[in-house]
Amino acid sequence: MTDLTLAPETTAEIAYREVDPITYEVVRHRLLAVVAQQSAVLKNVSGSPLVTEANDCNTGIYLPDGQIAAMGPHIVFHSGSMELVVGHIIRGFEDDQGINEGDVFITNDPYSGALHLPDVTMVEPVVHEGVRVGWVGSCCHVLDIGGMTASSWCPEATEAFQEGLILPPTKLVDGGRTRSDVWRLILSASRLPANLGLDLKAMIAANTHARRGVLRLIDRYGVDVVASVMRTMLDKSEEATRQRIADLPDGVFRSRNYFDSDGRKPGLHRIEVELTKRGDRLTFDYSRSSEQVDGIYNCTESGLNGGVFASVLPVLAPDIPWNSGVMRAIEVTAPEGLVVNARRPAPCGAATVGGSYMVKNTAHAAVSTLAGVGASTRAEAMAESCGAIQVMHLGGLNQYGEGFGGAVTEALAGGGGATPDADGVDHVGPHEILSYQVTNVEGDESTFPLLWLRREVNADSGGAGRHHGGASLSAAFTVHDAHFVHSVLMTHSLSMPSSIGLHGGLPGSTHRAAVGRGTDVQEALATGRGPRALGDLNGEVTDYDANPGEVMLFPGDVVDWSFHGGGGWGDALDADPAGIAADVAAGRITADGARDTYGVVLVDGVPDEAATETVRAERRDVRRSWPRAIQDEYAPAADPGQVIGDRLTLLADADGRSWFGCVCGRVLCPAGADWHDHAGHAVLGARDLGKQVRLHPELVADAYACPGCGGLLDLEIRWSADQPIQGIALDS
Amino acid sequence: MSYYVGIDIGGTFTDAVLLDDAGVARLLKTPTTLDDPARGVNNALALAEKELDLAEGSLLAEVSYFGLGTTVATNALIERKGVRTGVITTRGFRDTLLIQRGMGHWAGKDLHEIVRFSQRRLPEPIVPRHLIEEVIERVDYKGAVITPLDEDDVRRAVRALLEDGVQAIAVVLLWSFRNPAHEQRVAEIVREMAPDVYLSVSSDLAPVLGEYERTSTTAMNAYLGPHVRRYMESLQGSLRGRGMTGTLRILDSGGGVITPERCGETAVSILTSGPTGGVLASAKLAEQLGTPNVLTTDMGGTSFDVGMILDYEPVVSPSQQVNGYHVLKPAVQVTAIGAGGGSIAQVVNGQLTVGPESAGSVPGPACYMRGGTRPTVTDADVVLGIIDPEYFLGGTFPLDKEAATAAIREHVAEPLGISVEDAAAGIKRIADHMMADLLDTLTVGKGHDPRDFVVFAYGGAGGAHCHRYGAELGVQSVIVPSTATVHSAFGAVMSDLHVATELSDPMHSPSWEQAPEVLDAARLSANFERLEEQAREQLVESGAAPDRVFVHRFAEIRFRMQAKSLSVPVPDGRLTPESMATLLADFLALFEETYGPEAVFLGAGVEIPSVRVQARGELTKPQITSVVSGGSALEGRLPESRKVYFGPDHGWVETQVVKGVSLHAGDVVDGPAVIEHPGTTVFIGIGQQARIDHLDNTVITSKDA
Repeated sequence: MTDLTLAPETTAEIAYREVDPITYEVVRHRLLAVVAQQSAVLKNVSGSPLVTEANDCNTGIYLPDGQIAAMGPHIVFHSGSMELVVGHIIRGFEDDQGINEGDVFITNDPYSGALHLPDVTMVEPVVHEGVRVGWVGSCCHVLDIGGMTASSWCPEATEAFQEGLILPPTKLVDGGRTRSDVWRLILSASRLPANLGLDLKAMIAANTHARRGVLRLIDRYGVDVVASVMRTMLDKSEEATRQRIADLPDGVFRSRNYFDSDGRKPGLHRIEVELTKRGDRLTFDYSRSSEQVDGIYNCTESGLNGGVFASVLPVLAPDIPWNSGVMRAIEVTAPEGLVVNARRPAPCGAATVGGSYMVKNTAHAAVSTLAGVGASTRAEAMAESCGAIQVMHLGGLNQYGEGFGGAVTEALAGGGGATPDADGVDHVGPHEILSYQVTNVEGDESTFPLLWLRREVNADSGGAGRHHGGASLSAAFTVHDAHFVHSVLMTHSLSMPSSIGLHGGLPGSTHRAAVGRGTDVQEALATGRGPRALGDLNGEVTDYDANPGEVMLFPGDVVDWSFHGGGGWGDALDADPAGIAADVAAGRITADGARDTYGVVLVDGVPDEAATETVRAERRDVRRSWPRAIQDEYAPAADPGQVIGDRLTLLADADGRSWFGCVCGRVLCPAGADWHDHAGHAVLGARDLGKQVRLHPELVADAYACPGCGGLLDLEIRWSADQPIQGIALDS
Repeated sequence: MSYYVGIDIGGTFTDAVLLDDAGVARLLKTPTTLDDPARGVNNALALAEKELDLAEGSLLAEVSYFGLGTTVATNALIERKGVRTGVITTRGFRDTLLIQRGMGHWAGKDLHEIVRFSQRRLPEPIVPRHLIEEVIERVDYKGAVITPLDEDDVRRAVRALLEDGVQAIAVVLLWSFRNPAHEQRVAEIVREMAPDVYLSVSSDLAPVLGEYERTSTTAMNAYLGPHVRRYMESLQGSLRGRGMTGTLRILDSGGGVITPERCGETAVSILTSGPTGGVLASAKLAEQLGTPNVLTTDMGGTSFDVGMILDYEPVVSPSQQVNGYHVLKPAVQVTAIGAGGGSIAQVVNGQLTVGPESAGSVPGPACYMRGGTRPTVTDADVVLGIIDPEYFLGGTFPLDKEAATAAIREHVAEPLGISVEDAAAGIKRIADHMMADLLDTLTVGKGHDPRDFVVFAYGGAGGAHCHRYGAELGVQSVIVPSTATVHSAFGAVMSDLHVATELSDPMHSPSWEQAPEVLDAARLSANFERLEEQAREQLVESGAAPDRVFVHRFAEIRFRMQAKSLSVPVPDGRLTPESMATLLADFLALFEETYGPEAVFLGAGVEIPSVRVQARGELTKPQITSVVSGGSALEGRLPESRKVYFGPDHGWVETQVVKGVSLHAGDVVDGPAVIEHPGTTVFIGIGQQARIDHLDNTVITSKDA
């Protein structure tokens, strides 16, 4: 890991001291208000729908060494990047060109702290009477920063040099004067300088605003007070986080996820985490993950950290102010050269939907499993949301005959993960984006030469469970008023589920990308056939099962796609039939899905209780007959103990020994053993997992059921060459 | 004598202002009867009759103008008590309203709620999916017909909805603001097949780009329309039946009053009229006082609501968010944070915070003796001596200081290891600064200089806190209006007729330099003329004199691809390339002012997504000459001074207590002082003074100023 230890003199001129709790709260509240204002300026000035709609940006105020004091409500991945960026700037400039009042630094180098090249980051020091009190910074995902493919998502790239203009930390503004040579250099690298220029201006304006806000606060309360408050904010968050962690039982929690492309060619890659919780500390060890890949799905250290932090913050710290103090309680390790910590110059243009994203999925599953074991944190545990993202950038000549570029934001609309207490939220969007919005169809059609046939809730996309995952969206569109549209469709995991369920919950749907070539869509529209989907049209259909990459679209071509549903929680046979009936009425689940996946039989939309119970009992009977690796039998427990999965329990006997059990009273095995060996096991097929789940031929789905009641306890999707993992291993 | 009545029915109180020909304004307050708001109106009228020594039931005959602010639409929405509503939309887009562009789980939520992922939920739909019907048709971005309207399919859809028992139908087709023909034809068929069903059509209601927001607006209007129409008919019937021959007008959200009939047609336009009333009253007051730029602050029990007046005009947002849904109707901009008298103070991890959790009015602050045990801002005010527990609300509502002290001791002082009074001072200081931070965001955060502003403070708790949040911001002065306790009702009686219209006709220029020629001035002019004509027609129909109609035009302008436009005033008359150049220069100046010169990038090009017109039809009403607080006049003895705790730096300071009713124009009260008005307490800090102006407003300034 990068050493961020600073020369002590950078902060020596500030007399840090204890601030009374009233003044502390007054100053803290204003700092948060300043960041909110900074965010408003950034989003109002930016010219990129990725920023204005998808919220793919960030803002913040940082300590002199780059630790985050406060961050804006945008992409949480940047919680892992800003500290590294500032560290690189300090080490690169302090003894060279210097870091002075009025300087603005820009970088997008993933090997200098950025997440990937399109995430252009700008920071400036806050200097008060010659002393650097801290930094303000912001970041925008820009639409194009050069590279071999329009949009700077370069499916064919094998090294970072091909992906666009690499800007190591660079002074764009020197003592208040913009360096016009650097400005032109950056803009001239982009195919969309108009959008890029606005984004850069948005960051400068937002940072200027934030810097002035901090300086006004210093004028009012003094530099020592403001600096001390900023530092104390971290200490307090750290203290609260450590306390929260300390309250949880010690143990090791594991999670694994795969993805099926390196960007250029198909093939499975593994992301695996071992989360060790000891005392007030968490360690995320990713060393069992695959080697770095030849394509653009790698991430660097910043992406690795960001993926972990984005997972931990909402689960363990929803009520603790988010800053680097929370992160101090977390250690992240992975040797260089892995897909989660790539070595220069590996390409990582799609890190945010590749390595970082899969780190996020696995870290979140592991930390949710941990949270589920603690009474104070269980309510925040959640199955995976929106397990992978399709990225579609468009370019060419628009309907007005002008060059254009942009991204289709509806692709973010995956479903949310289920929790112990509720179904996942429909079309909630990616976990790491705090709030996003999908562009109106009318908005998309006014900027892109496209015509939508439908945009709707994708029924049966949520992973089944006692609580099911949220539904995603699906949509179809065709080229309209243009001779062609150049699209870049960067989408891994078209052959497999990614929104993993927890505790027997099934995975959410696999996303789909299909293109119909030369269809009769125009005629179908003109004659009033009302086509909604490729199935309503004639034409040759390519249903991609691997990363599509660059796809040229022509009049008559139709894109029909859908997105990952959320993962389920618990056994689908435990779902409330009335709730499933309501979901069928609301269009989230089909009547077929209700029967096949949940065992709920509906008659005129109302559950037939007797028929439902019969179906469910039959299925549980089947599961009871699943073979067990170890055939031990233990006396049933009088008290089922504490629920740590959904049916899985932890119980203590009269002698104080701990056991794994099931809520039905069945005792599975001593807590030191892996309970999976004592449960019924079956290998499920894609059809068993959900209506829209695909399973790569090299993947298997291991299901584990209670031999006593037939309740589903766990479902793991595994590369056939990998051994099963033990999700929960508590210290005795 | 002829009377002008303004009534605002709020959640807790029904406020009334009674203005006579001579310009005497009487202020009245009575509890709202939630089961039957009409009774609240009657109670207020009965109170007024008593005040004026009129025979019971005789006032209405002398009322020539009746302005009403009502939450009837908002309540029906929050309680989901609208009618069974169906939606007809373009094939393929049935789920638009349910998807909410992915914003359903976060729209209208605070950040602290958004980050709690496990609690995210979508709002209860206003129209369930099975009542949303698709019809075969399609229009594109140019307005060209891609798929002709299938009228048989329309009839099938209408039949299906009618069989499902809908009482209202909303029609929203893609691109209908560009080409309304299909939508209007669907409307005709609905009228033909179901003349009694309430009909709401998006191209009439909100011809603006964005199918989600248009659907949300139109569906909500259909959902609430029948309810609001019935309410208006019954109210009007009841007033007429009791002899009122005067005019009834209803406060809307966008900046004035509209007819009750119009209200029934566009129910969504009164959704946020409550806070609007106070801002409109402030705008009238600003005119009288000659203060062009005002921050209006309303500190109530649960929230602190801030509006802004620039150059005497309330700042208006082109759209609003209500209860998690989006409404494409302009609303006077009011920004709220959870800081009010009922905001709860707590210590978590050694840190004192205030709000956003609120004790509301039930159980309320600990001192209310209604079962609340957690300390609030009002409890702090009582402990500090700012509020006298025996004279709260004119002595009609005794408070328990012991309970306030105990709550602060247990929940704040002891956890922090400080004295109870220091804890109370801390709670107040934090709350005051939170409010100052919001004012900072609305001024400095948007390129304004606070020194160009005055603050108006009203609402139950505003008077006790404005001395601090105003001073902290550095405004010229803080004014507590004499109508502070019934400010929204004052807005209801004083506001003019108002119409706001908007039209999307997007145009853009990739080049900034060539924009004056590329942007179609003739088309823009034609659009303005169309909107203006509509607005004038409506105003005159509603009773405005044609020569008293004032029209403001705005172009929404932004750099290309930005999401947020700025409303740029457009001069009257026909636009030319020359005036387009001026318009763009105005935009640029406004942009620089708002975001700073460093934000400008002309290389982006420019676009005009829509145009808007705001029109006002002036109503003739008497000028206010004096203000009389009626009803619960302050009874009993007031001590001449009491001790107030000013925090660790000053300690307890003997502070003079002044009876508000004994003050007259020109009187000056030096701080520290408390002015006890029947409905509110105004606090003057150390180093400040208050002057009573010619309209009995309390003007607080720094003594050094």
